[in-house]
Amino acid sequence: MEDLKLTTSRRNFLKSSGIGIIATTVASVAPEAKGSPSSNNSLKGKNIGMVIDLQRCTGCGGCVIGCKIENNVQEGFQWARNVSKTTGKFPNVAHEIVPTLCNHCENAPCVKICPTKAMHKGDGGITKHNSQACIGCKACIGACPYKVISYNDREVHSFWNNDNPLINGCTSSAKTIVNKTGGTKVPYYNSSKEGTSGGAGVRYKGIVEKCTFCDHRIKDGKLPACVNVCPANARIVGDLNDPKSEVSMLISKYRPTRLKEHLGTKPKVFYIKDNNPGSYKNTKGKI
Amino acid sequence: MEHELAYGWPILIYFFLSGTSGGAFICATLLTLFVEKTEKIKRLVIYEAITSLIILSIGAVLLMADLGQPLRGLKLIAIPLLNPMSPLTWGSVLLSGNFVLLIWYIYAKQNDKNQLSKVLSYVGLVFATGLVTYTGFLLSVSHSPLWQSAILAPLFFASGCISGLSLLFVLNYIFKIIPKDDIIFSHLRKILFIMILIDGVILTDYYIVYAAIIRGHESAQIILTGSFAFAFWGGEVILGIILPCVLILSKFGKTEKGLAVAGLFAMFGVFMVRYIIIFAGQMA
Repeated sequence: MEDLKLTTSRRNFLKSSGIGIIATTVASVAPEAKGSPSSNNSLKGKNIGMVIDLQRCTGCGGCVIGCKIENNVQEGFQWARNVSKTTGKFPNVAHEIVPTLCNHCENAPCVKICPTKAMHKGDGGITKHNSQACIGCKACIGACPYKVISYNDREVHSFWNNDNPLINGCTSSAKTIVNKTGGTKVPYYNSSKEGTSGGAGVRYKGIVEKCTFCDHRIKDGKLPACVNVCPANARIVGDLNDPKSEVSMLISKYRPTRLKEHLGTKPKVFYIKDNNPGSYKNTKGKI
Repeated sequence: MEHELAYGWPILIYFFLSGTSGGAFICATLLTLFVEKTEKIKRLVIYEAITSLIILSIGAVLLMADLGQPLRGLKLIAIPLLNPMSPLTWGSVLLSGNFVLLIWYIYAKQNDKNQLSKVLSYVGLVFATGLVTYTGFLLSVSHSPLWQSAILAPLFFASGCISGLSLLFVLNYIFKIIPKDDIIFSHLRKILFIMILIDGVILTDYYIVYAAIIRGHESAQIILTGSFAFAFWGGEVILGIILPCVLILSKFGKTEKGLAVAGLFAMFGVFMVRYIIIFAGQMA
């Protein structure tokens, strides 16, 4: 039997393998270098927070739906939600609805644990997420005590890629609707989310996502969607660094609670209960 | 809420494999450093290191497969310690470091480079300890009340060492290296027994009982009496602690085969510990 002759030496083999590994790694890093989220200069020096008045809140769910519409949140996912809790025994029963969202904690565990700094603190003290840097490890989901981060485990908005009509020759397929409305991938595509920390108006599989405090709106001085749509003005937003802001005044006037304060996350969503309606100005606050 | 499970089956298996790999590397380095250098020990150590490398590779593949964006995960190797505050960043350094060290170590042992073996053993001991421990540390800084305890890191370390030592006995039986009459065999047998008791009873079971009854953690209560009770009592306590201990103390346990069987049950117990802690911890 003929001996097999090696065409390359061990040293050359190791060298070319090393170059191959480095090239692959650089290629994986390169896409992130192309575009980074824009900096919200108007929020510099501010510390945006929110006060939610649980007495004014009726649990209508307008904030939940408003958030979904504004951010194209896909079916089965909620970035803002209402957590209802019933306690006590009849006839001494209490039912409470607590609207929750990302608390944009000052001591955010999701920021600390993110290995690629995709989760980071941005201007205004917003906990932002760079979807282009996210590797989908889900460690932030493990770290977040509020369960407000969700993972896109399937193609987002896959429904709108479906070209099969419900009734052939009669109804339109989802894809037909998108094309007819001149949309890109979904009929309600929000172009103002492009270039923000979300990275795109329409997002993709394999990354985590969460409430961005509507950074694409607040950078222009607009209110977050959940604050904007609330019919009861139960949500008030503002700068916690400004002692004259509505949020600062409400926090000092009432005794607010925060979710899971004992964990030391320093959440910036404060809950109050104004049992005397009209004892403070009816307002949604200001960025 | 659905779509919120942070750690699923691939991560659970990775936690077990990385613990076993690190534990195996620790055993190999300790044998290199503190045991008389014989041909048999050298052979056993090399097999242990090779198996550790294979297990670590499988674990690394599972870890990458679990990522939503695996190619981007290579960034963690390209830019070490991108976020030094994150245990995952350290984990990627430890994983890569262990990989390189194992390959180098096997080369040094195979070619009888004793001085290099000694240096790599010391360095490997540090990296392997880090690999085994960082997963416990990662959980302890996460949200579940069951995980938020400083005991998780030493618990994972001890169980990783048990798994590594058990692997040693399995390899010893398969390749018929060290006979049962050898004094080393007897010492390692006793070490395994003590470690199972320390990790199983003191670190794991006591902590879960304490968390359930004294601290009132819902996830610990699920483990003791709820949906994970069968896995805990049947899998971890009986099959993972009592059975291997009984086997080790028996006459059968003094044979190579007996110790390998006891080791396999002990490894199963280690896997069950990780299963109940990771999954039950995410239930509440």
